[in-house]
Amino acid sequence: MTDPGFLVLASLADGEKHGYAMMEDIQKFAGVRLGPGTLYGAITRLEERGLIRPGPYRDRRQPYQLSALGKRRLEEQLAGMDALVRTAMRRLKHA
Amino acid sequence: MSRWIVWAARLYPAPWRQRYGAEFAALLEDSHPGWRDFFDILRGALLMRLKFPTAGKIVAGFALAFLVIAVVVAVRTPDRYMSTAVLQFQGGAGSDALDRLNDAQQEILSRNSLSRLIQQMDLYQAERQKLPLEDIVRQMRNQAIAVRLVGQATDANVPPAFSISFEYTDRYKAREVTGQLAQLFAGQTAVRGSRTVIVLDDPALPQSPVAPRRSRIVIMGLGLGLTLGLIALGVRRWPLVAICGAAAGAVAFTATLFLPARYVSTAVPAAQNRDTAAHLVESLTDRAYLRSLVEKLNLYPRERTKEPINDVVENMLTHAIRIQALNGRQAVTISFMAEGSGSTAQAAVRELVAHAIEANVTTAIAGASPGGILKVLDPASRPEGAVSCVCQPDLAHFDTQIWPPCGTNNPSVPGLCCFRWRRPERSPAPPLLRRVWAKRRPGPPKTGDQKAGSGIRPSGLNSCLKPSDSVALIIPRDTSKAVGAGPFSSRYTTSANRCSNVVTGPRSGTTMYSWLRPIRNASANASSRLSLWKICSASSQ
Repeated sequence: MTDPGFLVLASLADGEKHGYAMMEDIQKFAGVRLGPGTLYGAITRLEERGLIRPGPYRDRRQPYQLSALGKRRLEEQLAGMDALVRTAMRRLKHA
Repeated sequence: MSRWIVWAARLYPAPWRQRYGAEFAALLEDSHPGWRDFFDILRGALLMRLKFPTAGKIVAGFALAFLVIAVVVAVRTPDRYMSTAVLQFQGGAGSDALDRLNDAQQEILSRNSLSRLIQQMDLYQAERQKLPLEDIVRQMRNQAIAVRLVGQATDANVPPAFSISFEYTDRYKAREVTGQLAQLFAGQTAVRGSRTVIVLDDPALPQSPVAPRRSRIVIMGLGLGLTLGLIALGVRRWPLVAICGAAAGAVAFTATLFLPARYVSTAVPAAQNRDTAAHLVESLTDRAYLRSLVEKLNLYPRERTKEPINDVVENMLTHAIRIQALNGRQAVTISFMAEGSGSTAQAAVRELVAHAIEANVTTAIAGASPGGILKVLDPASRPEGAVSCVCQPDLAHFDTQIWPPCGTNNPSVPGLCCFRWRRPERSPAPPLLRRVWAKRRPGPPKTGDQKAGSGIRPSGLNSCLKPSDSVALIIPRDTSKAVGAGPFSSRYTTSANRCSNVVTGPRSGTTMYSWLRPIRNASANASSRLSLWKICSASSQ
């Protein structure tokens, strides 16, 4: 849940964002503040794997968006997590 | 703060900064980073440095890795202690002292002597689980034992002194073995001459280790790491060259798999004087004998169909046989290299040694040679990988000090051949494996004598003895009682240093094996060593 790569993908799920916007968004929806080094480490890794792609520069800021592969990978991860959450919740109810 | 942040951001590798530098700077401007972010940036820069390797990092990485390995090796290598004893010849200086020391050294540091010492003192336990005893003996002789002259060895007025050192991981055993070696040297040199050797300094218990030199191991590890790092750099810089090299190496390795394995067996006979040694070498390079050897052992069958036998013999003499003087003295190493079979190499060396003995005896009786004694310091070694036999007779050593020569009283009997039966020195195979081997290799059909249970292998005896040969048997005192009225005719009795009775045989009509069986059994019962001495066939005529 706190994997920086997953958080970046989750942040870009609703549209393209640049670095600072991602940092703010992740802190807002996940309660985790990614440092600049951690954030750009994740961005570098995700771009290398083709999961995100850069958009056109806007005032020295580089926005990123999910690629098709990144979107599919995010869906797979969320589905897995959803099954995990459902199972855990069901067991909690029966406990 | 911002100055530190800018400095930390510069630590990112240049390729990364070219791609992400501008937007990263914009992010830092927007996010107003603090100390936590400073360390986060430092960590990110370090990870990126590892992600984008440079030449320096590759070399440094290899060096660091091997440095760590070297430190671990240096720490885990056990301490080795050296114990030293000092001995000195008594009764004034003499030119023969060094000769006697050298002779004693060859005798005591021979394979048989050291094997006995290893087993007696239970040395090299861990190594004996992994390596053949012969390798351990070689390692002990070359690395652990040192015999050095002390003081002015060339001064004719000063009796020479020498030191014996032994290095081992257990300091108590190091002292004990050094003491044993000192006693052996003292005894051996005393036996061979009129003057005695005394122990000047008894071996002391070593207090501090002499090895390993840990700093040297660490430096070597660092050097190796740097070298491999540079090689890795070269591979990265010129990958095509590296791929071609690796492919060539793979081809060469594959080619070596199709080459027949080569085995080398070595024996070390020593002559009493240089003339005898020269005669030994001459007899072994006799082309007529080598031709008969090739035919007898069926060597080089493929080459013999293509080339004349003389060419095969010349090639064998050039490439397969090596006769080399040891330390420039009378000891000679005889090596034979055979392809495909280690037992062939061993058999060839046995034949060569037996021929040298016979030639020495024959020419001495004919008065054509000086008649020096031949002594086998190391019998034909068993090449690594060769099949070991259950009970293998071994050509051991010669000694003529106690033997009346072939029915005459000539004290210069040139050579006698001594056989010794010993169990194989390698640890036995597991029972299951032994059963499998027994099923897969039934062995040659047994003769009547062998079925009777002697356990003596005719193949080994035949390497030097024939049933028609006249032989002499030296029986230790306790064994002679046990043998009693055996099928021998006792002709000689001598009070030699090691033996009490000398008998000859076999009688006509008895085979060699039936003649030897009860003696061997008696020897085994008396738990003593049995020595069989051979006189050349000509002497019995």
